[in-house]
Amino acid sequence: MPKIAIASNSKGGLEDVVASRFGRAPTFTIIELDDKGNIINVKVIENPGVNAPGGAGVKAVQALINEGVDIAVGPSFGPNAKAILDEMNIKAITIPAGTKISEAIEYVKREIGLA
Amino acid sequence: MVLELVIASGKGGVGKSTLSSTLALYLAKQGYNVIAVDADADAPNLHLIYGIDRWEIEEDYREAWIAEIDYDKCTMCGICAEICSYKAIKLIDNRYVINTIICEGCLTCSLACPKKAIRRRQITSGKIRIAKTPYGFPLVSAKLNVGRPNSGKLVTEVKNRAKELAREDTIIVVDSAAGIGCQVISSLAGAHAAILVAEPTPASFSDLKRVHMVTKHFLLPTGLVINKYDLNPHYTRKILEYAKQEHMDVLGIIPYDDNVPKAMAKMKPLVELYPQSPASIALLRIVSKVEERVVKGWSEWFREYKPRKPVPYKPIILKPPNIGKG
Amino acid sequence: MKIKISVTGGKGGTGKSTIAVNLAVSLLRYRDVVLADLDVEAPNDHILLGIRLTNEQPVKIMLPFIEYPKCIRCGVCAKVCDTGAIIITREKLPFIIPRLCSGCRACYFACPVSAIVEGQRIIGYTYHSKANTIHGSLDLITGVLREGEEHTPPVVLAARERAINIAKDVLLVDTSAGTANHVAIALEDSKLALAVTEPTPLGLHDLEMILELTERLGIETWVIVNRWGIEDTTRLEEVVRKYNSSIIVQIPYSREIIDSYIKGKPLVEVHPDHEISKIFYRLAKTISEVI
Repeated sequence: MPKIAIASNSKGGLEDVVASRFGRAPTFTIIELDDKGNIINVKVIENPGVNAPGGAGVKAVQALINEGVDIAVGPSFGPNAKAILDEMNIKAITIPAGTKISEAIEYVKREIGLA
Repeated sequence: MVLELVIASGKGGVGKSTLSSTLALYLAKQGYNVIAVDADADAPNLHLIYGIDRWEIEEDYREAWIAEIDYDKCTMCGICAEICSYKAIKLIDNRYVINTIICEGCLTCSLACPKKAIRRRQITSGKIRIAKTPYGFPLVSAKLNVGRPNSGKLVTEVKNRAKELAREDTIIVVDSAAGIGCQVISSLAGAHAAILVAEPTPASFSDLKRVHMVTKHFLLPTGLVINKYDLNPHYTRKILEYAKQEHMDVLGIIPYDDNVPKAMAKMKPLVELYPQSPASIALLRIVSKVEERVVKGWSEWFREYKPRKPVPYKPIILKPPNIGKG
Repeated sequence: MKIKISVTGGKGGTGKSTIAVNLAVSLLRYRDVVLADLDVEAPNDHILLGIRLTNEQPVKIMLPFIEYPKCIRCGVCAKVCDTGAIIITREKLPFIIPRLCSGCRACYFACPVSAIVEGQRIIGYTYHSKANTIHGSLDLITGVLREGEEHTPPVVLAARERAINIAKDVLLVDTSAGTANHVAIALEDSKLALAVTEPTPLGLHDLEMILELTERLGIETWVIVNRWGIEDTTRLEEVVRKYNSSIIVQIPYSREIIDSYIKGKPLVEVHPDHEISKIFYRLAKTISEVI
């Protein structure tokens, strides 16, 4: 039952869009899917890295680790964030900024074979 | 989307600020929404090129600590001086004294002190300033107080302030510092593209290769501008060959021009003061290419010039003996 | 009795390295000289001397390793890490991100159960090369930061220490531009600083910063004006007076310096009778008498 975190541009949620930055996205929309790909939970968390003076990507990933996320979605990943996601076995998927989150989920489902 | 372009060089004094100030100005005149960022917190000078003498916003940046010894508790064991990685603690006149200029605020000494005699103090490490240029677009600038470390954090903060001001379609032009250390790495982090500036000398070529290695770590599509190319056509050719091998987009070359320092002395951009000067003409050709190729043609340019072979950064690690598995 | 002299200057590209190299060669006439290139992000002195970097020694900083069997998962190490180099996994175990670690050892001292063991990470190198000049052999110590590394000060420190160890008489230090703390580390304990500037508003602005730094470090500073002749120097003279300094030398702009720069040999070797070479020799003589 995959947990997907999508870097969101403003207040988060299915109606929001993918942020222009991963590490400094204002919020992460965390979507839980069941084995058939249905959405069973949507949660929005603030990104602790948004105003961090340094290592924003790292702080963002720490927050996702704390939430038990399996898949991270952003427009791109800085080298720090990418390296840690790889180490923590969290799959990183890039989806262009501005994509509606509800659409992004469909893309992710196709990527992981759930659609 | 917000497009972030960073101008870097490795070597100082080769023309980064001339190029970034011209690029921001040109794009603004073409009607784009532009924010100029001076990320050279050690020695900012974009405000001097634009002729800004007053800041609309000026804020202290206080995200820094230094260590302070409580002499009432200190028993002169000297452990702090021994473990300080920067040799910032010295025995002077029978007291252990922390050199506040060099102290980086890692606070290891306070953790190591057996008497808990070292505490931390927050300090102002620099300033963030914002002003509107005479051309209508904002300049976000940073100034690190002398002797302070970690300008990388200040640079990140400056870029954040710029992003706060940005709209959906803003172009952020970042003038980075010279070198390849934390302030340059912070300038490049999160950028979409890098434009590297070099002059045709062995020193500048060597530094160009070093900063280019860093842009490759960041997987950034990279353009190249050669300044004062006519001072040494032989070296200009060498650098152009390198650019070709490395698949960098050669955006143009600029001749040496006496009017460049003259315009800087008058605190006005070269292309405003001496638009017919040879360097101006070359610069305008270059920035218009940036507009065509990098701004308007972003997706194709990105696909074409992003590094073919990723060159990830790999730390060189020496494991301690007998470390357990975990 | 070793004496340290630093060549510095807030603005990049003012000709610091060119002056440091030419001054080092000129000083060889009078004294034993070791030149230390502490501009570790963009070192150029070896290029200006036309020599290769040899005798490589790595610069290492501490890298923590967790002894997981001992770890009690308190998370204190991640809390005290100033650079965010320790992340806490789902199992509450600390995980180190080497590239972000600055080697400060805060985690090592903070761990309540001594579960952190010291490993190391190489972030750069120092080199010891010799240049055969017309006045004898010049020892050059160079510090080089590895590309992709963020943390400059340990490399500056290592190169500085290596240079101090081999210097017998005069140690001439070439710092990087700017006024950040790694410049302060390069300047520390200098008997004399030579601040190189150019007579432009940018040069002046950065000169004030470097003079403020050397004043705070308590180092006597002389000002060298390079590319003199391109601008009016009244404001420059005011700033110099304000910091109780003096303009010791003015080097006019010249094509020959640029040529020698490109040829990879110092001007004083390529054109020893040039008026600028004579300026360097006079400066070297003055310095050697004063110290």
